[in-house]
Amino acid sequence: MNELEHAVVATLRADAQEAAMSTDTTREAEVLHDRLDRIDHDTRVRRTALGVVALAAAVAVTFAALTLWPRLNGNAEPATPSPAPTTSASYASAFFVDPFTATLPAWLLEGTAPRVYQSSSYQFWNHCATDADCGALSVSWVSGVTSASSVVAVDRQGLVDHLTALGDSGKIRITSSAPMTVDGRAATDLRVQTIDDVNGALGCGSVACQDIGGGSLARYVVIDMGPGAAPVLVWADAPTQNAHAAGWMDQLDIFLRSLRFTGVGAVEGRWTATLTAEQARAAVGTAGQSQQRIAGFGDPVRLSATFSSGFALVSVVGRDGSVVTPIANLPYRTTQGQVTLGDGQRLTITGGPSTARFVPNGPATSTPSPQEQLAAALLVAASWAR
Amino acid sequence: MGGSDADESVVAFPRTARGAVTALFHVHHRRLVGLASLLVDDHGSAEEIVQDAFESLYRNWSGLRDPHAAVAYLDRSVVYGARSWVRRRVTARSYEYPEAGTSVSAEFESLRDQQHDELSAAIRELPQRQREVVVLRYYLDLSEEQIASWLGVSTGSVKRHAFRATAALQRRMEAWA
Repeated sequence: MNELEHAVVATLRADAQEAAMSTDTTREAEVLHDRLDRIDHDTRVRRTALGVVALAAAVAVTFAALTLWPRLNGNAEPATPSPAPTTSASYASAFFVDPFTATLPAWLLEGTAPRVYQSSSYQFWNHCATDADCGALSVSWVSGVTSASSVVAVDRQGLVDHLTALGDSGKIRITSSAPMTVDGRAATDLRVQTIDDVNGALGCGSVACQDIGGGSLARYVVIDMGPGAAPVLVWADAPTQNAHAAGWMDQLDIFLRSLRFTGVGAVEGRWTATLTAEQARAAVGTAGQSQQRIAGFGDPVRLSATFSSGFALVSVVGRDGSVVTPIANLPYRTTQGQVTLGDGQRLTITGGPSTARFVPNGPATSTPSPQEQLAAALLVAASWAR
Repeated sequence: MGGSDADESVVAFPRTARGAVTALFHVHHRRLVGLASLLVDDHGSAEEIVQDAFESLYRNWSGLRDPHAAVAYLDRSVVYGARSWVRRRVTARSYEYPEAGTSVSAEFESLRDQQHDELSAAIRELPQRQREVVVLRYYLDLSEEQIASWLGVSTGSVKRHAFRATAALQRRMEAWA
């Protein structure tokens, strides 16, 4: 193997390791569990259906025999069409930063089960056996939009302006724009016809910027999540060759009318705390790397923890509260008094609205980075105030 | 499974398909996400491709002649899934930008220099088939015959793709140097 080949091997291993380390195995195991449950459920339903079909066949033969004679004698009654099947299903998000419940529209549940992708910033259902019956629905947490080579934070109006600008530049065709209310929140409903693919143009979550797929009918609904909070984008799209595309876009109303954000956490906002350097050192144990970092934090160690839309930025701050050294940006989600960090560690919040302690309530279930371990340890060690 | 007790490489599979797939998931999930991420450009899709591979394994468990072939089945499913993803890219395409606080090992830290970044980018910019050959050859350490079998092409085709890929990488690295 020559030098280049050795370098290729090392590069591939390093890239694969980086990707492997950044995956949340606990979350992915939960996703797989749900998918296997769905397969088991479908299998049971299929078996039951086969039994029902066999029974129905027997009934049909009997029915035909009983009705044949009257029909032959001209006494048949006109048949009445059976109502079109309408199904829907309630859904409760498991990972999304702004937890929600909603009713999924029927088209998403027809035929083969839709592919589901869940993450803290992205919830996606994809009903795509072929282009002719393809359609997707997504709920996206939008931290910003791409501008040149960077990502710029936006609020609801900023995201609407960004999408409108795409329309003005001819990259998409906006056929209507209307204000609406979703879960009591201000929202903007854009109906769109996409033209070509526009990479990374549909807003960025925590790690990715979503692309706009070309040749589709789409509906983008931008929801205001409050002052300073990232907006949520609910969108649906279907290729124009899908004969049901327009109807499916209309049926997004079923989802929007039922959408409820259920877990806006009391922890949201900026907290501060002060520790002596000795307390900080005691909190992180004997990890040499963390001890070294704490030595550079000064004494006392002044900290801030800003919880916002699924990410807690833990930083060392100066006397005036300005950030001196960011330590780590911890992904988290909240449910009824508990913060669950991205590594699976659960913290129970105690205290009143202006003070908090974070008490460990379960170990980490995946290996966090040294920075994340340090930030989590300091989060637990300190008493926090708003 | 009929294997020797002394053979520690043989995993004792649970009796049920679900138990076996779950056990395989815990052992191979991270590695497979790494493999998928070498073939597609965003992490979320890599994770979904791996999920699909495990789902497919579960659906087809009863058809596996040898349960110990499951790992190879997963590897192949990820490669096929990645190729399918690249081909379709229907609706949920996305690209990654660097995430603050991503955990990296000491080994990775040492490689994370400009040459690594340049070579990593060069591999990702290869035509898809060349990229597949590079990953299968240098990451999974497959022979040309195995790669040909996996990708459904001739050995000569694998050689051509490998030659073109390494030539492109060599040119890129020389230009960078």
